[in-house]
Amino acid sequence: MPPAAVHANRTRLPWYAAGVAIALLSVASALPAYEPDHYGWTYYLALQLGFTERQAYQLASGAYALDWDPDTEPMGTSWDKAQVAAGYPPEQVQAKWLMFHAFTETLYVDLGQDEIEAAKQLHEDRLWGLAVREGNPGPYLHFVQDRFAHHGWENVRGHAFAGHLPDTLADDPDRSRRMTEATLQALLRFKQLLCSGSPLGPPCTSKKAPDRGRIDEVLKLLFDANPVPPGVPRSELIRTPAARARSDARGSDGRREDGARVAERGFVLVGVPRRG
Amino acid sequence: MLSGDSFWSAFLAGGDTFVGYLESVRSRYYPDVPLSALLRTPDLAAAVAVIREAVAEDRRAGRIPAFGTMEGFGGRAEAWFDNDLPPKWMQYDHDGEGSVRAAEPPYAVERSVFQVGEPELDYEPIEGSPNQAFRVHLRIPYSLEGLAEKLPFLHPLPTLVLHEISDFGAGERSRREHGNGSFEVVKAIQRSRADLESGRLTWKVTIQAYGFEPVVHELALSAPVEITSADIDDVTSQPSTDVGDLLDELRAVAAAATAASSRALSACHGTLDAVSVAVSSRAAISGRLDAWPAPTASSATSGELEALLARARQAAAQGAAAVQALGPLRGEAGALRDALCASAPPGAGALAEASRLSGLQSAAAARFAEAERALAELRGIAAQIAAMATPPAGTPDSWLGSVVAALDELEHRLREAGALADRAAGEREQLSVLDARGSDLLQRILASLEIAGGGTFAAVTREVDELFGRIRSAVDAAAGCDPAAARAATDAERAELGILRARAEELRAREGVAAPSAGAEAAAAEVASLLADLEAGVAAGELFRDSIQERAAQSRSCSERPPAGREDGGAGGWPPSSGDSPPATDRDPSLERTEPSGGGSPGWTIDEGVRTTGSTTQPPPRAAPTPPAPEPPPSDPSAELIGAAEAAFARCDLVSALSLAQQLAAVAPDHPWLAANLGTLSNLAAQQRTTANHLQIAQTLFSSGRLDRARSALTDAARHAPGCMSGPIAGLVGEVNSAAAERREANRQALSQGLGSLLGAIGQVASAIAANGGNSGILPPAAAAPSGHAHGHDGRDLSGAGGAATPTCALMDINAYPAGWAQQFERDPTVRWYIQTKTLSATTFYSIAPARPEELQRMGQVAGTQYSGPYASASAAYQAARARCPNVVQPSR
Repeated sequence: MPPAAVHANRTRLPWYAAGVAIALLSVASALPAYEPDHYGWTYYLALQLGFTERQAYQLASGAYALDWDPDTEPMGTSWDKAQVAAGYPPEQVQAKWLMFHAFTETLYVDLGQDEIEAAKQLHEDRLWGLAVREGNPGPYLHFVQDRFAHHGWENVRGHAFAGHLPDTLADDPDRSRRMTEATLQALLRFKQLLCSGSPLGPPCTSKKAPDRGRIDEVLKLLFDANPVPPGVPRSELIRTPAARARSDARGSDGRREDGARVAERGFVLVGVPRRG
Repeated sequence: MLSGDSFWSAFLAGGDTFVGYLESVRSRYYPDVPLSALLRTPDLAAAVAVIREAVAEDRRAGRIPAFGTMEGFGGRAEAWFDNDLPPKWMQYDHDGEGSVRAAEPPYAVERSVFQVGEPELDYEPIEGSPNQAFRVHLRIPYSLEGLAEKLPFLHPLPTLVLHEISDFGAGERSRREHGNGSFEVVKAIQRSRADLESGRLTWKVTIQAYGFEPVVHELALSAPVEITSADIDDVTSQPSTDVGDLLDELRAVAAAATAASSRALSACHGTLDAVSVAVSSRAAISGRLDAWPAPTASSATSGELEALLARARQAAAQGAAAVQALGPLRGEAGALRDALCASAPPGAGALAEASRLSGLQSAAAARFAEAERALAELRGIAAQIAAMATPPAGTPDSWLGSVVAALDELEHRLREAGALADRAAGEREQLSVLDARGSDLLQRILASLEIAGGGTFAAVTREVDELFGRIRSAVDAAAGCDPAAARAATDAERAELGILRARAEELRAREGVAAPSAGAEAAAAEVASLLADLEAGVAAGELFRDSIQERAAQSRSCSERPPAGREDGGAGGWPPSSGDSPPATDRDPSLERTEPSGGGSPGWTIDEGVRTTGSTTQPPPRAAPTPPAPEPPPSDPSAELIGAAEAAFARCDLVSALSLAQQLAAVAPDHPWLAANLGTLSNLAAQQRTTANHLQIAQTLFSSGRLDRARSALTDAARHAPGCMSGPIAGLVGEVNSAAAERREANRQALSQGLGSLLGAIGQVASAIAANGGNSGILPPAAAAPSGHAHGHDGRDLSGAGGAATPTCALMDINAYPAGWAQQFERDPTVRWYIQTKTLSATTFYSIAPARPEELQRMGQVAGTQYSGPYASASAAYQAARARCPNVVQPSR
């Protein structure tokens, strides 16, 4: 789809969309992206790899604090939010979305997934360099995790139209499992870095492989702790009309509406009807 | 209907009114999704509770180190430290790059080490009961290093110590808190000699710092040697006082031997365990590698390469020949065009010349097509050779990455296992030394006893035998695991891993990330060179082709010009007559020169878009190379201009009318007619130009079969057309609508023919109007154009024939998002690419995106992204793209 088609939608955004966005963004600012899970889940996975509680606390805090620091948090001031809602996100907000929160660079939405991922990889590599220099992979972990939560969401509107759905592990269990594996690999990478000098002390003394069966059990508990409300479709279905059109007819959990029905009924948050 | 007004009204009212407004929006568009569902934020407390419970369960199950669950502690320590995962994270102070500025809270992940030293026992006789009761002092040193100071969690670090003495029921426990430093466990107990000599007394000490594995020492207690008369069967003499020291040393040797044996066994078994794990893991990895698809033809034979190279060279030669043939064609066409335009009035053979020029155009197109075919073949060959050099990837590189990572992990484990084996070997050596020392001590003690009197010291002898037996047992036990064999096993397994790593690297190379074979690489380089040359040639040829097309069009314009002296060529009707608005273009500078009129004979000139004919010729704004013919001054130039403007207005030639009005403004700027009409004319002319653009676009779309888009463009044209044009256009729209509705895709061609004449008429109108606009020198001010309507984005004339032939890029500042730009470019067939630019921090990002499917297909090889920062390697693609796109337009704001 050419850029024009992508952006044609925004030109048709009626005022009510801006209103919804403002409302959503106002609340969304409270807890951004994979929210409690940047913290709790990173902590748990670090313990699984032999880090001590203190180390895990540093790692988990590092992965989460970005969302609350004025220089890195994704939402900005109230005025920033209003500009985002109006479709004119301030440059510094967009930059933060790209650099720390793995949103898709809007410039590349039509160049293909390779370009998008290459651009994201640049940021991820930079954050790994930061982890090596400063001894804490928190921002790197955050980015790795957000690459799943924010996959497909671009840095103009973010995922305001889907509210907090993408931030919820239960939104897409398979995606969350992939995020978990990526987090484990990122932690393992840091563990190897930490242990490259001397094998003494944790986590270097722990050679046990993480118990992925147990990890999956706990992940399911997290799904249940913050479930997706009944009747709400997957955020991916809200994001793209194409995805909506692809029927998710399986309805595995029975709570979700399949994409075909959603599309048929006109559940459209993006690409809303023309203003008239 | 929801509107901006209602939104802002609700927004300003705030409170329940605004919430009610949002609710009405939600119920209108998302009836089954409660707004609260979308706004629900994940609950941090709920997630933290899950994690804490999971950690506690894992501790109970032994999946992660348990603190305070050592035997005898039960859940008490859990109660002490039931604060796994604090509810509040540490908030670090990041800068805009993500670095942390403040030293607190500690950011760098700590690298803590907890070490426990060897225990020491000391026996002290209790006063009043010498040799019968003792105070046994235990000392175990330990240290903590690398803890991050001021970490607000588990700091100082809780440390538990548990003493379990075999003859004393429950263990005794203590809790300490430490930062970095060296510490020790010191404890004393009192026991009788009988207790100590029973041989069953053990002292087990467990030390655990929070988060670390517990360290356990179990010591066997025994009585200190004290030779008394009761111990001596034969009291004729006293044993040497050295016996006690020797016996102490033998006890120490026995204890050391037991410990060394235990450590040697532990290390040796640890080595074998690691090797065992590595063997099973390696088997799995080997299976994964075995399952990799069989290699494709990863290397081409030299014969195949040669054949492909020969084809490539032939295609390159053919393409180059075709490109070279374009040059003469261009020259010939240029000369012909010059001749046509220089002949004023055009001769009778002008049409024939124009026809010949058309033939030249066809020949050029054929040559260009040949060159493109050669280019396509060359690209195909290049792809084949590239495929030979690097077969297509079957599996993502990440798969191999994970295999290599697993191999790295195994390698790391084996290295550590090797170190363990070395340690075990060291312990074995130490054990040998201790064994020898024990034998020596045994001999010396027995000798000493013998020397002392030859009697039998029963208790001493028993203990000596026992101690020596412990030493021998330790040596025998250690023999159960051979460190050298374990070390050899690790080395062998590492060698196996090396083989697997080589296989993985081989697969990685084969699957597209490694260098191709030398032959294929050389062939690829040669073909790439040929391809680059031909691409450059074709690019230049494309310019030639455009030039020929333009010249043909221009010459046709010359040839179709009515003979000089005819005021109106007799065309009549609508569109306006060519006598008033001869088509011309400012694309070719050669057309801007003024043609000599030849000694006062009537003629026509083209200069800066101002056209004059016959006696009505106006002096060109710029000096012409030859003086204009003397003309009789008009009796009332203002009246003539007003009359001409009104006539043009009556013909619906609003652009010409505006041009005349502006001429009037130059002559009589205060004329009341201008005050009354100039503004209106300006607006109407802008509308007419916009309408002409829409019509041109509609025609292009229609001719390419995109009926829906064409209809949409026509609808827009009708919507924005000035009144005098709206009727015919609306009629056309109606016909297109009804025809398109009746006919389906199968007879689209018939529809095209049927409507062709109608569109042709409109298209002529559009061309004429556009040409007028181009010659008028008046560009519609962007601010005056209706918002959201297509118009000349930056003043460039989009509607001319040249506009469709010259690639144009839409330059977009991604931050700006002017309303309606998408529609502008969607309806502009000249826009082939989008160049998007955006600056973040100090880096400017550009991206090139083909705007049309055909462009995407044709130009796919150069479509890429250029970054001024880290993606500099892509700049070649950007430059190539930019070179093909000399015109850049921007959306109007």
